Amino acid sequence: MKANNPLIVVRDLSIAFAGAKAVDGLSFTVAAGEVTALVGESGSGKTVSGLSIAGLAPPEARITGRVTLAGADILGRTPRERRLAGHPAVSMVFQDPQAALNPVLTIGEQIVEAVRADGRTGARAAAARALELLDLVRIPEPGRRFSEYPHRLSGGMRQRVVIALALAASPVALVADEPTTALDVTIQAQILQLLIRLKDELGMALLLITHDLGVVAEAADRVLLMRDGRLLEDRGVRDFFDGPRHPYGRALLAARPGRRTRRGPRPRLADTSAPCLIGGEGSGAC
Amino acid sequence: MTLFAFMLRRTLAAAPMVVLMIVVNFLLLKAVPGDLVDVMAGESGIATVEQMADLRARFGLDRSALDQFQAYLSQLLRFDLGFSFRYSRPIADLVLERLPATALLVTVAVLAAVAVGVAAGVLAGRRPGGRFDRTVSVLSSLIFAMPSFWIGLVGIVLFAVHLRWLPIGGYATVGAPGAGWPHAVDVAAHLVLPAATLGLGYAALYARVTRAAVIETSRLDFVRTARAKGISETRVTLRHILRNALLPVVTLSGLKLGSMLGGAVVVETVFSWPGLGRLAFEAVADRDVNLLLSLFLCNSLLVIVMGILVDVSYAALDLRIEVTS
Amino acid sequence: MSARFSFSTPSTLRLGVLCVALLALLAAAAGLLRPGDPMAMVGPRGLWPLTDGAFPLGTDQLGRDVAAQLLFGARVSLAVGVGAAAVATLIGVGLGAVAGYFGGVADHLLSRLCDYVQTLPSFLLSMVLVAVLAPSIGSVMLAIGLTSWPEIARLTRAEVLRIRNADWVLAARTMGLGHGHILLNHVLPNGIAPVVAMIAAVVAHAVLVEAALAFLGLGDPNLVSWGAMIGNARPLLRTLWYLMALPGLAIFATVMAFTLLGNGLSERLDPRGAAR
Repeated sequence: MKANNPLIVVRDLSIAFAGAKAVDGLSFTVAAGEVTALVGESGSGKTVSGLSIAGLAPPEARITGRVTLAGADILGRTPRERRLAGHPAVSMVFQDPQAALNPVLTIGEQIVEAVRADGRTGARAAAARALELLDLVRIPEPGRRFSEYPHRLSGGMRQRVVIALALAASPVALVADEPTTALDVTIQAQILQLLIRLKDELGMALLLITHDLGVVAEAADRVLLMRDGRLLEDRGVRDFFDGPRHPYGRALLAARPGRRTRRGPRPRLADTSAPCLIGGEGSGAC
Repeated sequence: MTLFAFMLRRTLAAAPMVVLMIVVNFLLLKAVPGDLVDVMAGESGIATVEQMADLRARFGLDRSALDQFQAYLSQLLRFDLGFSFRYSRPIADLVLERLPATALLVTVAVLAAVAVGVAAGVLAGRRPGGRFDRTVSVLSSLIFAMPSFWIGLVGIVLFAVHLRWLPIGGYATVGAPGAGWPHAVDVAAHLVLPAATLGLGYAALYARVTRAAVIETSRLDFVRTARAKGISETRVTLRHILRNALLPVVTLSGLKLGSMLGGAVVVETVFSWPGLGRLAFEAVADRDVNLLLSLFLCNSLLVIVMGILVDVSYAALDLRIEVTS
Repeated sequence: MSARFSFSTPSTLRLGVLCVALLALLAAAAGLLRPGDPMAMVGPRGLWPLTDGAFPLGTDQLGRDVAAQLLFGARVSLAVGVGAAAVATLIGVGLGAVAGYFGGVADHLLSRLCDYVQTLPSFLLSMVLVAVLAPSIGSVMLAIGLTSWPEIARLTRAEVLRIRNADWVLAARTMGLGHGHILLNHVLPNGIAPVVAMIAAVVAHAVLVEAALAFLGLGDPNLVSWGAMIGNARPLLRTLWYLMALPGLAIFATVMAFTLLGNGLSERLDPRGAAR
């Protein structure tokens, strides 16, 4: 782990909607080449934190604090403003790939548009780059998929397209907001592995927003635990699963399905990875 | 299902509607006090009872209602709309003669209304509650509350009588060249006020529909995806929001196109525009109910045809993109 | 609830009620304010408004009092507006309630009938009906009412459908009350509120259609009507344009009043849905 090399530094981030605080004094760092998991229940403020780091917080959000990317202040700037200011990109992978893609534009049109957003790439070069990106996210027959509409693709394929869109800006960091939640259980692991592989190949930082401790166990290097807009824990993943210090973290681990009781919600990825953790193995190996 | 199959099914589904329309038209025709022969007798002055009975037999008016309906149907199937004794001409000829002027007027009015309405709706929907949005909302309320013929007359007083920018009415200047560029410019000048009058209410309607669709679409996730690409807001609006928001507007304008003749009656009357609407007014003024009913039937059928076309084009779009929402 | 009504009534509703009341008052007092026959030639010809105290709104090309014509015209506009809305309400609420309450074939038939009537070009149909029945205030009411009921029917049906399985309706049914009784006393009173808001909008629409019909010469020939006034003023646009402008403003004000009333009612009934 290379936690000593922070790429994104978040200091005292607070976000409020119409007076109600969604995020309250959040501070953490994200290192290049590392998977940082931002964990919490829905309503904990994790998604809006990720959106504001990516520059996509809704306009009515009141944001204070400081977020720097490689030393440059990026908070409150839209992706376009960041690009025009010459900052490297922080891209976003969205939860629901069905909703995240425009239904009336082809896959190719949407990726080409993202590539050409830099204002320098020609149409032909952009098309070539789009095919390259489709290949990079392991979409079979990229030439055929290029001219198809999103509805023709399966959920997993659509999420790969969303990832390709995110990669178009050559980002130094990806914010992935519940990237596997909307997908079939069988596809979830594939997409997670793809994200980890891309992070390694492209040397990006990956901020993984999730409520699924199974995903955390499988992918994360570090865990940030959030509740009610505050950061409760910031620890290495093994440390976290071995014994969270905060009572909420302990309660969360205890409530994981399949740990102590057979009642409770449907078993998830957490079940398959739990034995590994107890055995003290590395996180991504299972 | 192929597009052709869909088209066939949709047309078949409309068939009972068409039959019902023809029946209602026939019943209305029969409800008119006095029949064709009475009208003819009135036109030609005096006729004896024997002559009238003879004429009734010749037109089949003495036969049973069912027989008459059969005759009416077979007449319609031959695209024969009957005969106007006021004009001494077949009604179908009259309709065909007046059709181009109305088609021109309605097409220009719809296109202008869509352009203005969609632009206003997009700008209003981008910032709901903003100054522009409130202005559009107030303006459209005002327009909805004004009779269109009154708007047209105010336009005449303002732009034709006082400012003298535009002609007061008619299709073209009498005595001016009937062809070439000067003619086209002349007709265009005559078209401005009627098209604006007819289009204004529709523009207000499209503005409201577009505004609502833009606000709705702006909330969808793929708009955020587009914004994440770092493209300009203008591009996000035009390429991502508007393109998806346009579907309901297109549907609405297709359906409204079919029923625009109602509005055209009033507007064509105000501006002496020689189209089908003016023909309907003349039919009313001359108490030629047969002619009026034929126009009503033609318009009813047009609405059905437009409905089918809208559905089919929607299906064609859907086969391509299958918008699931 | 009644205490809240007087203090926190939305301003749109208050304004609408005020305007409609004022219009009704003016129409009712027409004979007092301007006694005599509004069609009588009583003054100099073509007198402009605000030039003579005896004729505050001027006279027309035949020397008839414009103010008197406007006041008596309000009677026709309001009568046709309310009458047409009454026809539409009778048909719409009746059919909608039956379709929603009984469902099944009745419901299916109604929705097909609504589809059919809404497909017809409504203004042309009104023209045809008035022409066939011969122009009179009654035929105009009927012609407009017969073309504008489907919206009311659809809304009533939806409301009745929502309410027909409510506990108090089921309770009434277990008491062995008849369908007609249940529909009139237990279902309709609870679902009629949104329909009332729509009826105000139908009145506004009817006033506009009446004006257009009268403008085309399809009004009652024996009564003063704003639309007919505008029609008669058409040849005089170059000189006496106020004869066209004033009745137009009267139509506008009347339509606006009923629109405000309708919007105010629906705002009050559903504060969230009113933003549409």
